[in-house]
Amino acid sequence: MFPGKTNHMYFTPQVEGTYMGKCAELCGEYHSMMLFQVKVVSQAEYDTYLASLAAKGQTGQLDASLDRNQNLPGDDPEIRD
Amino acid sequence: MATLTDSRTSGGYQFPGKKSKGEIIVDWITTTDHKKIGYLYLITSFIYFLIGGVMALVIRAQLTLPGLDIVQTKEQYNQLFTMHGTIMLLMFATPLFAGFANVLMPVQIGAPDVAFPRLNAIAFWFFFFGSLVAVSGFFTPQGAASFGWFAYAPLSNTTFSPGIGGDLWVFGLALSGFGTIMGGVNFITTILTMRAPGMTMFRMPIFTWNTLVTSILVIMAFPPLAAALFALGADRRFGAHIFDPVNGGPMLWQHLFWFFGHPEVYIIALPFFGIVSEIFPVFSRKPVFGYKTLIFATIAIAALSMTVWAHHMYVTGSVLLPFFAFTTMLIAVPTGVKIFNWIGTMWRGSITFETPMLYSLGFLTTFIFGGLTGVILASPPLTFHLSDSYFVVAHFHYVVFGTVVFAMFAGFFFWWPKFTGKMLDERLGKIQFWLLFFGFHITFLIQHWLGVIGMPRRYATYLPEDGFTWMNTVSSAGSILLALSMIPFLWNLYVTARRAPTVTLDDPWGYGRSLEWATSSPFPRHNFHSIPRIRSESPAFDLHHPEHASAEAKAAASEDRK
Repeated sequence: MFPGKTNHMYFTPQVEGTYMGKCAELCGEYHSMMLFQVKVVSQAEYDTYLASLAAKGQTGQLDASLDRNQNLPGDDPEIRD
Repeated sequence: MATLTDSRTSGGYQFPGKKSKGEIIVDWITTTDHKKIGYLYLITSFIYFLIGGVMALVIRAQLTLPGLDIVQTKEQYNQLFTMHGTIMLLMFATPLFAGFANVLMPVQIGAPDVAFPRLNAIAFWFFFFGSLVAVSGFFTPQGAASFGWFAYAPLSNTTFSPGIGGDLWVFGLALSGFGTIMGGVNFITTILTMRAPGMTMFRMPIFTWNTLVTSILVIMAFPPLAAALFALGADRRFGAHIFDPVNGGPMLWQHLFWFFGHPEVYIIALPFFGIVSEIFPVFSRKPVFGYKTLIFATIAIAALSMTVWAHHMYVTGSVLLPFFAFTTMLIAVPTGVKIFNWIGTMWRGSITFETPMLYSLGFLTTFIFGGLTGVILASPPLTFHLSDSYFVVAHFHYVVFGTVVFAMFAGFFFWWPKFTGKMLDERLGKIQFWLLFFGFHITFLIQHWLGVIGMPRRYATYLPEDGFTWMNTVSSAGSILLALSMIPFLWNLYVTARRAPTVTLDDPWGYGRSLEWATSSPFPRHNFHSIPRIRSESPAFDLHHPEHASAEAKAAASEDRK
């Protein structure tokens, strides 16, 4: 896992629930604090949630304004994969 | 019998008169004697083993419970595991190979020294100062390197790791790597050109064979590392863009690094396989079972080890998974042959359990565990789950600790009378073995399960709700036992030096096979006053047990009598 390349993996979750995700590649001092959660929910619950986001106007892609690494030498977020 | 017996009573080289401390120091730092250089390697690498071990204890202390602050910052934690890995692989295990090979290999082939004694000395001092440079990062304001011992790009560039410690790491390792390359060249030349009359290639001891094969691996694997390190140094100091992510640098670094890194694992494994291959026959009172298959297995492992590097890179999604999975699993075949040979050597032998044998058996059990988890990790679908988890940590500690540390102590206890003229204490050695054995397995066995339930490696801490707590506590408790096992050893060194009687026999174990057991203990200055006829792969055994000697040796002896 590294910048400049996007990997895709596919799997079919079988059990609903909240799963803990962790950063798997040493990335610096705060490696052990790069945590996230993934919720596996039913299709109906998923559709309702997406509809609620759409109602708030949250659609489409984010722009680069939240990217903390915009200034890296030779690494323009606009052209980054 | 062509052997002269009168000269062997002198009992080794005696210094003419007592030397002052200054003279002794100058004598050691200017030496070109292969044995003294070997002892320098062994002493230096053992000190690094203790330093790296203390770092491991701090790491384990930090992980005992979730949310501890044993180290002040997570950056310090990253420095600790980076330098723990670097020290254990490149300042302990690799020079330990050079140490054992330097002391023993010339004696085992009946040579008075290595082919290039002065190259040998400069190789040691390159290693010595290179290693000092690499660890001196701890004395700089930003601390030592903290990007992991495999220094993945782009984390290892100056944007993400700006400290001078990273530069010291890069250039220190480059310097010590050149020392290793020179050592490899020296060993190959010595083995090919300086064997005593009668010492054909297929009469060389297994340890010497493994030294030869390991040295060939060294001269294939270390130059790519040197190239990669200089490129990384150019990136860091001169603003080059060799490992810049924009032009695919991270993949280039990973390929170069693992093209070194995987053979490196075998560089630190094969010599230690050699050590136990010397020990099993002696304490089983049998010749090694399948001498030639053992050698061909070593060659096969070495050849395959050059073809498997990308199994460290499955999760990059940019390597050919079936090829690397296949070659990796294939290594299990020659390794299995070796294990079969070792068990076959013991099979129906008259086994005794002196400390060297205990350690060799400890090696065998531990290494088999590590080999089996290696086959699991060779499988890409399993690695996608286990990669960068504590399962991997447990796997490589089983392989590397099982091989290097267990076989190192086996070799120390086995050859100590040859090194110093005194036998290490058996009772302390056995206490140490059981402390080390249980300490090691309590520390690392549980880490397999930690990895399976998802604990990633290189985490400075974890959450209580992760469910990792009790396993980490068990692991840390085991590490204390493991650390305690060093106390009986250091005590053993002290009491042996002070009190143990001097060994008067060439072969204190009684059933030694290779040539080092046919010369006095400790070794005389130029290794031999006389060399016995070499008519089999067990010349010392033929000499000391003529009634059980090989057929060729008996024929040669009866010819001598005529």
